[in-house]
Amino acid sequence: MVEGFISNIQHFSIGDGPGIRTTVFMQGCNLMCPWCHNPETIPREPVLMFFKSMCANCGHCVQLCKEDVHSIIDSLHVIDLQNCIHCGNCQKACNGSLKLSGKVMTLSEVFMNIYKDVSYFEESKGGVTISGGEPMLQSDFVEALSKMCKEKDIHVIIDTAGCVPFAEFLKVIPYTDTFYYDIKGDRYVYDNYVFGDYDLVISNLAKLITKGYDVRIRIPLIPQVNDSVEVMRTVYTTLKNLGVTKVSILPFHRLGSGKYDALNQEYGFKNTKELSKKKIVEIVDIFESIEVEIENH
Amino acid sequence: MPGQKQTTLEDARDYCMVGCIENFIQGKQPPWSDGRYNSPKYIELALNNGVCMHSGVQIGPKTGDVTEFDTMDKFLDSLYKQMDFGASQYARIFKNENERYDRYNYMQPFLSCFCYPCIERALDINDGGALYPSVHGAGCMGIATFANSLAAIELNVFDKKEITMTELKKALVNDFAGYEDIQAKLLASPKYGNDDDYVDKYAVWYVRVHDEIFSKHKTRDGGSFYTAIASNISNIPAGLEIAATPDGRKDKAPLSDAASPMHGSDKNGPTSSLNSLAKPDYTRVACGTVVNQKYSRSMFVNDEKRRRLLDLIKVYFKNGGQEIQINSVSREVLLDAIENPEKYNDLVVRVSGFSAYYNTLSREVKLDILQRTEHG
Repeated sequence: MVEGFISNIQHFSIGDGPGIRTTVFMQGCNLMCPWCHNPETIPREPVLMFFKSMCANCGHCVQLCKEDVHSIIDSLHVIDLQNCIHCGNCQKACNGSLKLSGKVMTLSEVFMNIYKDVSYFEESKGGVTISGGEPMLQSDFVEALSKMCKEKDIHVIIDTAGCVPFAEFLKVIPYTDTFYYDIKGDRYVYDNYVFGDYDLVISNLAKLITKGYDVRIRIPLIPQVNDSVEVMRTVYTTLKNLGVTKVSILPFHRLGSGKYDALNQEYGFKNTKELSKKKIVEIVDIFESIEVEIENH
Repeated sequence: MPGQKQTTLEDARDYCMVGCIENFIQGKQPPWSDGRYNSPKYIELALNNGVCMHSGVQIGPKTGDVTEFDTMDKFLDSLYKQMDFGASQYARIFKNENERYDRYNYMQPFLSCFCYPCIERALDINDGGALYPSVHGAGCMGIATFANSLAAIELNVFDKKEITMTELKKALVNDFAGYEDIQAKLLASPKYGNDDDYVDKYAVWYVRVHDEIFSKHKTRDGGSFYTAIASNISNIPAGLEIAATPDGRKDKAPLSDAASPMHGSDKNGPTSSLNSLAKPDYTRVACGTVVNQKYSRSMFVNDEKRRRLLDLIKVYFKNGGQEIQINSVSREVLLDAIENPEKYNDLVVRVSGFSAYYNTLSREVKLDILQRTEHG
């Protein structure tokens, strides 16, 4: 039985492709983008998020946890993650302040979950988006899942950063309608911020485009990382040479900052301001012969 | 119109709405009436052999000692009898009240002017002037409280056998004080609104049984008793009449609203919620259902997003849904949701390329969205 390591399955997802979609967020990523707005999906092991501001200090989790991870001390919820076995029991009676990311699910469990919304996909011309984390790190699972979706005529998008051997792509290509493909910047950005193999990302993209598969390029625009004219010119030239005709630009936002608090992690972009309209226009202008769509939050 | 068997097709198609959701044969029917039926109270009575936990008085029939039951079906049989008895009492009380408004004491010349047969027959609307008899709608409350309670009993007492019926009863009598472990297990049990058949089957049962027990009764001029799955805000005072329930709800706390899932317990998004809500057979609910869903204003900012909501509603209706009301959230609510997050677990807001539960966002993001909403 093929199993997947899943962060979350989100229903009524309307920003991850056309129509009403269900997005399967796979757990685990091989890049380390410091601005990531889903930081809980990066580790390749389960993580428990604790949204402190939502906690009612009700203590139901204390009753449900068998490992003494949770306690109420002086009417306040205190967590000691050392003994946590990531069973997810604590979140079952919780108002939503506890959230486990990273759960092993069988292929049929995931598919049955998706299939429940098939009438919404049909009505809205939506489907399934397999995102992450990096879904291509679990290509066997993604292959099996997208194959099952295709057998039921469900539209499939794979949202990837492309930093895996091309052999992984070959597995999923027959069952994928569209790839959402992230380009984070030039070689310098890959070497110094996201720690990924730039050449691999670009050569995979070149192969996908050459073979004529539907690829939608998405570029996160991050202040002080890749928003300079120099970096974006390099990105533009590279993409133009690959024959890309359309890209989406996703301007930086801080909406994931609550998750960093919940993971007890420092968020390096906490005080970074969102980009001005002027700045975004300046970047768009660089993409002379490539059509640009701005995907605002 | 389901249930109105004596209505001609032509007249049925000429129906109108009266009140909020009740359908009515315009110009041919006497005034409508409705009431409230406190459904989850009968779970309390079934658990206590007909004795009310608040007053200690025997108000329902003796349906057996639940601690001796070894199957869920036996519990459901008892519950059915309690509900059936309750519906008979309801019908009696209603008729006593209704008979005060007879043709001698309560003539309605004004209304009669708008009823065609009254004019032809020269009779008052309450004196045989109307073509069809008056109908009554029993507003059945707390469907989610009810379904969640039954699922929690099935799971914990009969399925996993982690809680005995005796322990459950003690926990409820003590409003969970000293029984926090039991309350946590009950709260952690499956909840209506997440597309989970384990609990949704009890909402299906709820709708079927209410129709069965109420359709036995007739109004004083021979019209039907219908059911409605609606409560307006009566779910709050109704909760005051009910002790702690097996879904983990505390003594006197509000019941679930109308046909909606329990506040904050539908955690898988609006499609899963509507999938659950579409499971009961609403053709048995001739007096209508009310479903409330909340969205932030940002769900309405462009055609693309509005179309997604439209698709959502269309699918719900195709799947058998009757009524849904989509609410856009005001600034006041968003502010209140920052201060009192526990009240807003099901509030979905458009965040960036995705929609998220408002409560999962950091304070700053909430303030950010608040600002956007103000400009939007």
